[in-house]
Amino acid sequence: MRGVLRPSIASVCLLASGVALGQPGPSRPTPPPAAPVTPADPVTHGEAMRAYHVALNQRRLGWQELKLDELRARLAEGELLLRDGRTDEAASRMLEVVEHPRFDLFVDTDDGRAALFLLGDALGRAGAYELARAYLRGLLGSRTAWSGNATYARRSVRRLVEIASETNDFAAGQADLRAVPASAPEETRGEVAYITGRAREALGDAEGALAAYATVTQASRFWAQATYLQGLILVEKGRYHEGENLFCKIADPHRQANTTPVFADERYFAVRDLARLALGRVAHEERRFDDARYYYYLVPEDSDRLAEALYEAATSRYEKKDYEGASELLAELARIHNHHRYEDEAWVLGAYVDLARCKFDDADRKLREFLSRYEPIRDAARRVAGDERAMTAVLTAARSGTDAAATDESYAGGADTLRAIAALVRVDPAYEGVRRRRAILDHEGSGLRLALLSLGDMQSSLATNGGVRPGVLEHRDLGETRDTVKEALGGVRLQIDQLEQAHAATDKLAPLREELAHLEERATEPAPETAGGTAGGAPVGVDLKDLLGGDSARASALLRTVDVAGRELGKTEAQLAKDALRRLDLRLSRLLRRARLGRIESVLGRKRALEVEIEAINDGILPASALDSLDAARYLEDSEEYWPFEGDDWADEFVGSEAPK
Amino acid sequence: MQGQRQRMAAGLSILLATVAVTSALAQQRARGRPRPKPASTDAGSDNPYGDETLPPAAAASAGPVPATASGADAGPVPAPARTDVGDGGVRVSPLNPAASEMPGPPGVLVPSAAGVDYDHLIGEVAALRARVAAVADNLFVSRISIAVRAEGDHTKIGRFVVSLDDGAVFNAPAGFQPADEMTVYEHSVAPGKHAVTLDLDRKDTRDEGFRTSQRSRFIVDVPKDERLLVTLRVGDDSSMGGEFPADRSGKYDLRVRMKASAVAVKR
Repeated sequence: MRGVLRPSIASVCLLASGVALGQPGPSRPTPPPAAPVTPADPVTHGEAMRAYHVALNQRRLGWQELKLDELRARLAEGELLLRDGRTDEAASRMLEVVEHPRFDLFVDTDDGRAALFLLGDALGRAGAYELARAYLRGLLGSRTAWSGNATYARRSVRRLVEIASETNDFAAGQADLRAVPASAPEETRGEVAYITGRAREALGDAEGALAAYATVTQASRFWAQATYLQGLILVEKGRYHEGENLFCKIADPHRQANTTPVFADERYFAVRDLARLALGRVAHEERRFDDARYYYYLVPEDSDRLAEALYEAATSRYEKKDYEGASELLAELARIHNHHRYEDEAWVLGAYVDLARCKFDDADRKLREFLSRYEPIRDAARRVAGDERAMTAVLTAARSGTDAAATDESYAGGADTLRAIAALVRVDPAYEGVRRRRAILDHEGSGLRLALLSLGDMQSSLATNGGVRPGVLEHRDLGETRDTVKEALGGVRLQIDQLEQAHAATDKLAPLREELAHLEERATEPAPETAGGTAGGAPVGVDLKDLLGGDSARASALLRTVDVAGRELGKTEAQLAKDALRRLDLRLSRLLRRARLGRIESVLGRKRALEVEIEAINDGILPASALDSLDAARYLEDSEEYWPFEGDDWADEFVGSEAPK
Repeated sequence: MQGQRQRMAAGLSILLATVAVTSALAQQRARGRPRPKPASTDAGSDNPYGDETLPPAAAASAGPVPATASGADAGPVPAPARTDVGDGGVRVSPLNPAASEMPGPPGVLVPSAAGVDYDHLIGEVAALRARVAAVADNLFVSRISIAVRAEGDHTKIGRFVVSLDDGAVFNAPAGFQPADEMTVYEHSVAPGKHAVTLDLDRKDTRDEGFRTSQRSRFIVDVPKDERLLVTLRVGDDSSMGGEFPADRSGKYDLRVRMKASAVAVKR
């Protein structure tokens, strides 16, 4: 029965593990094994840059020779640019050198490998994962990549693993690492094994994943993650004891910062807390409630998982019928002053603990408060789902942990309501992926517009033999215009929300909302100048002019595709955001129903208590309230005082001829 | 003997039938059929029972004190509101979530309906931008260098995007706070007029609810064969976050100033 009521503990552990593992865990329930898909090999698009080098050389322009000193200077420059976060510039500077016709001379040297790695790293940081993978794969596949210390090969492996984790594309990650030899260092083999395990798990091959994770040693930075995921697989298979042993390896309270595996990164401690929660859940599932209490207790006070641990510990104490213990844990949870994602459930659980302790009045009071607080929040969540700006603000705050009210102060529902929604909503991991990709696409699209202008400048410069740029800036500032339109639409939406809150007639508001939605749709349509693009296809030829013309046409076409993709991602993002709010609605609705049930139980409980009292009176036992009625002090007037009899003698009483004491 | 038995059986049957008819007539229902239970229309129905169904074991087991039904004279009870009790007397939490409340399974990005391969598209754009920038570096001698600096005691920068000719060239990472002058972009450009834009969101460290945004656009002229040094200085003397909550008086004072100077490019 418990299995029916509660989602499997492995599911809960996995849902919780997304943040700490740097990416969401594999899907649950376990999908059926799928046929392995061979991902397409990434391409560098480097031939276009090489063509430019040839064309520039023909005109005696550009970099005629590539010398070692120049390469090293460029490497130092690239490092500095990356350090300052100037990834686009770093990518451009390194691309120029890597695609130089004479770069082949250096490709098997440490400097050449460093240049390839820097280019791949810069592109990866900029979000151009496919290009980054292509260059890093090239580095790994070179003849001498693994000779000597193989510094850049090892760094490339790490970067490729990070890219696979960021994109959740573990199959591609596994394919990228195919060139890593078996003789690679232990740390590197650990990376490969970890990605192999993730790829096998994504395909539903649990045994393959277990085998791969088992080979990740403590020398790898992924040891904790691999051990934890191994434990989850075993728990899902019902092999609790083995899973628990693995979790214990990570959760060991004696393992502190100075004794952790040397290669563990900062995420180790997050995984450690997850392992402790997992131990608590396994113990809870096996009804070892005292063990569960201990494991939950191990989650430290500064952990992001503290609220989770306290809430689940309180639940386990409730299930053990240790209501005092549950109550203490809930009180500790209430001392966390910030909003947390268990605040609604903890409130109802607290009322049920009171019910179980026959404190019916307290329970009823808590439930009434809960209903009066969360019903408006549930309704506000429904309204927010229809307001894109407020929805984005809430989900941004929920994801980043910032203040939702500070993100969009214009929401008519009130700042605290927004904060409460942001604290309660469970953001879908897919939402984060879409949002990140959209941000990258926006940035690239914006840069592409500049590239298009730059191409135009270069074509003019060639045509006029180096003339000064004409005054082309009279065109309107498109970004500013779009922002103005968005702000104006936001203002209209706010006014409609305020009207709705003032209980304006629905039939009058509906057409306004419809018109607003239509205007918002129009505001996201691409601007005519970008939608039109440059007429004609790409000129064919190898001269600089031809190459620039070709790239100009390509940039225009890409700009149109970027617009389409951006709008599509925007819709997906909004859909996922709405889904998150729908799930919040379901949860709050369930809790509100549960609170109403609790109120019925409190009434029934009070009634039963009266019945017991009546039965007791019938049996000749007076209840406490009746005994109180014999107390003389109850019958005094306001102007009267009652001095209770305190015995015959006072300590300082003068009696007869005795001297006062 | 047999005839006497048959008469007794017939008499008993008539007697039973009479009793049954009398009872039925005496218990005629005053009303018609009871109204059906209203169906729950949405997730947020106020019906406390909603769509929840009690598990058979919980429904069958006797509840503790608050769940015990009262006597026959207690009037109609809405529904048997029992606390779930598991096997062996364990009280199961009343708050187990439904599967539909859980986030969907994570995985690779949903494929594009329009058939766009996002990674491939981003890769293509990034490659084109990088090579255009590299070629421009070889074709133009004139350069533009953009440096930024932000001042202010209680300033937290939310968004900081520098654009050249409306194309973003620098997007500040989280926690960006250039207390000292910091170059964020330097590149060859065509000589002539260009637009440098700064999009800035500023929060108050004392209360992030007090925020201000600004978009400043400057037209600069890059002389031929010279390097234009553009310095954007963000000054913040706002006091809303610190003073307004207590004094009901404060100000926003966020200023973006730009300084440009050109020097000859060393060949």
